[in-house]
Amino acid sequence: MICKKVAIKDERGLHLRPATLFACIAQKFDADILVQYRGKTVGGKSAIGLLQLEVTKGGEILIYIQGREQESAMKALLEFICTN
Amino acid sequence: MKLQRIGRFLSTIVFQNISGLIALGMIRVFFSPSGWWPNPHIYQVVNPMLQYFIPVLFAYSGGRIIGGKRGGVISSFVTIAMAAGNNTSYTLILPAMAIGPLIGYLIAKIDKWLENRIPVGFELLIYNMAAGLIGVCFAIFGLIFVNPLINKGVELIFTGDTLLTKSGLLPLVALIIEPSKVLFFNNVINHGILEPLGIQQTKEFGKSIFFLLESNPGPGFGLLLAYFVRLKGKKKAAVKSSLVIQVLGGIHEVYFPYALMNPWVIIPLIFGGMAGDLIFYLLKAGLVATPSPGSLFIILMMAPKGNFMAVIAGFLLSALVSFLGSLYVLSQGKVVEELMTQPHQQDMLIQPVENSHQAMPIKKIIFACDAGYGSSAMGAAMLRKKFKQANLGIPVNHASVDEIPRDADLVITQIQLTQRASKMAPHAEHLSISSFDEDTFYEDLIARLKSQKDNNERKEVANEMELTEDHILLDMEAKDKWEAIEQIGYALVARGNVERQYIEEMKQREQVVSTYLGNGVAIPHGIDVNSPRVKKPGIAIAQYPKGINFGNGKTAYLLIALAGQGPQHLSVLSELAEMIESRQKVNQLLFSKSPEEMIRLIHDSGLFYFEEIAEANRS
Repeated sequence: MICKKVAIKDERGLHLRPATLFACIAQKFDADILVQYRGKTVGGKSAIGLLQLEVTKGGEILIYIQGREQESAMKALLEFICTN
Repeated sequence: MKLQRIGRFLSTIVFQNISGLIALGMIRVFFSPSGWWPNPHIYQVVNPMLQYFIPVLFAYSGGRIIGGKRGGVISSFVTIAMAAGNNTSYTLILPAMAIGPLIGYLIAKIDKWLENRIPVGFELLIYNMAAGLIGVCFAIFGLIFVNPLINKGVELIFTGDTLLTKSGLLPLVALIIEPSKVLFFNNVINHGILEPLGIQQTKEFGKSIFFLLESNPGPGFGLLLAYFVRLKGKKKAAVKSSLVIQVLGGIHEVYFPYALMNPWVIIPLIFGGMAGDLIFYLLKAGLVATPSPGSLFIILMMAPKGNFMAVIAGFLLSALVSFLGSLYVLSQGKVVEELMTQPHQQDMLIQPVENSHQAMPIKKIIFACDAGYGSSAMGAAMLRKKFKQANLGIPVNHASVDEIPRDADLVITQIQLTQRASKMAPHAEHLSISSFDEDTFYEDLIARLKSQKDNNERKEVANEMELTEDHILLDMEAKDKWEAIEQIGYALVARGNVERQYIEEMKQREQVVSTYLGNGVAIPHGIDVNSPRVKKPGIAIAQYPKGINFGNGKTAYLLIALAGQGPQHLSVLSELAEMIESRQKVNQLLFSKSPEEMIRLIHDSGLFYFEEIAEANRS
């Protein structure tokens, strides 16, 4: 299991488009992915779940990944958040 | 697993009666012939207490837990009958811990058997008669047949542990005690095993070393001290408070996580425990009753006159050995460096066990630990204090893992106990902590509960999204998603929510990334949240029973078009996602036959309360 904390930069928070893309990237990897924000935890492979977190701009989310491809999954997700 | 459960059960029996044992211990310390103020008149109560009071107490507790009040009463009856007929010097303390549950079990079984066989109106009479009969039978049976057997058995155990005490091998039990303690078996070992043996021994010699073996805070204290020396900054402060809580508060649980962080420290812990036990043995130290909780204060209070120095020496030496050993281990391992360089690693403390109930509002929080008196009470008190500061009015209670109330919404346990806790309370949400002094845990929890509070307020913002019967399109058909977006977009235009150009913005947004969300639902909306094309926020919903291809092999059957403004966009999305997560809800929306039904369905899911606005618009 690896875990990283990262802040959402998007002006409008984690809204539909970034949530969909995040889930899309997450689905590609063979690993369990959880995202936590303000004590609430959802699966990282579902945009429906991610939207319920209501992450606003600057909100720090925790990403937990466990599984065979955990390293590459974390790298891809962090890259996505940092460039978006 | 079975053995574990039995051990835990026995420890519960003793744990519930600790205050009585401590009272008896005080009488010993003060008034025994070797005590501070020898007084035979007062001291004479000790013997009947040991002969009758404690066995009956244990039998009652055990019987009541399993067989209800009547189980407790009859267990006591049988125990006192057997005690009265017992003319040896052994007490029935150990047998009572078996008699209680046994009789309780019988009563429970018979009650169940009788349940459907009693004529109405005779319940009280027959239940009591049956229980009474069991009492009489077992009292006679016990007096005649079991008593001699028990005496033999107790004699055997007793010679066994006397042999162990005298042989000098006693310090070796640290090999078992220290590792099991760290794995949260501390209560089982202390109250389930060592304590009954100790009480028995105390009756013979006036004190027992068994009370010191598990409760000695020395090894844990040394370990925490080593962490205190090695760590820096915020972590250091956390260890400091753990130190005080452990050695003076007697809540040993606070050091277990530190031991689990670097399993090698178990070796110094064992050596620390052995060193202490050896000193206790050589100096013939002992206590007159269990110090519970294992605080230095209570330990010294329970030490008979003339034993202080021996007890303190054992404590100090075990702390010293464990401290030096742990310090060595910590300077070898990488754990400390990691702790110091990667503070974020610690954020992993909250681990989701189950998250399907996240949407439920939290009204009752339970802190649970093995026994339900020590660390859970402390954790609950800490949380209550923080809630008060944060102005949150949610009640926080503490309980034993086995007795978590059914209506608890959120249960907090130490990580090793979470699995057990979630079995006990499957409907609650479970959070784990690995250490009680972890501030980030409490901060995150408070932030979340506050957002729960804010959420209710934010719901009212969503109210401003207009949804009327004109916003609902039933049984639609379209050749592709662009046509569908045009159709649903027009519903918003027709109601004056948006200007015509907004439809183009919706298409642009669709081109960037598909707005397909999941469960057959897509949420088309404009590309710019602050679009000047939005005149008044609103929502349109359309059914497409034949499905619309949204790319990537995804088919949407329900379209929900949003015309939102600025900051409320995110919370509207979040609420919609909550609804769409339920397949059942989506299906209901998809197959509903009238706009009124659709609005009612959305209304019922507690998302948007549009009625008043809709009404205002009509008039």
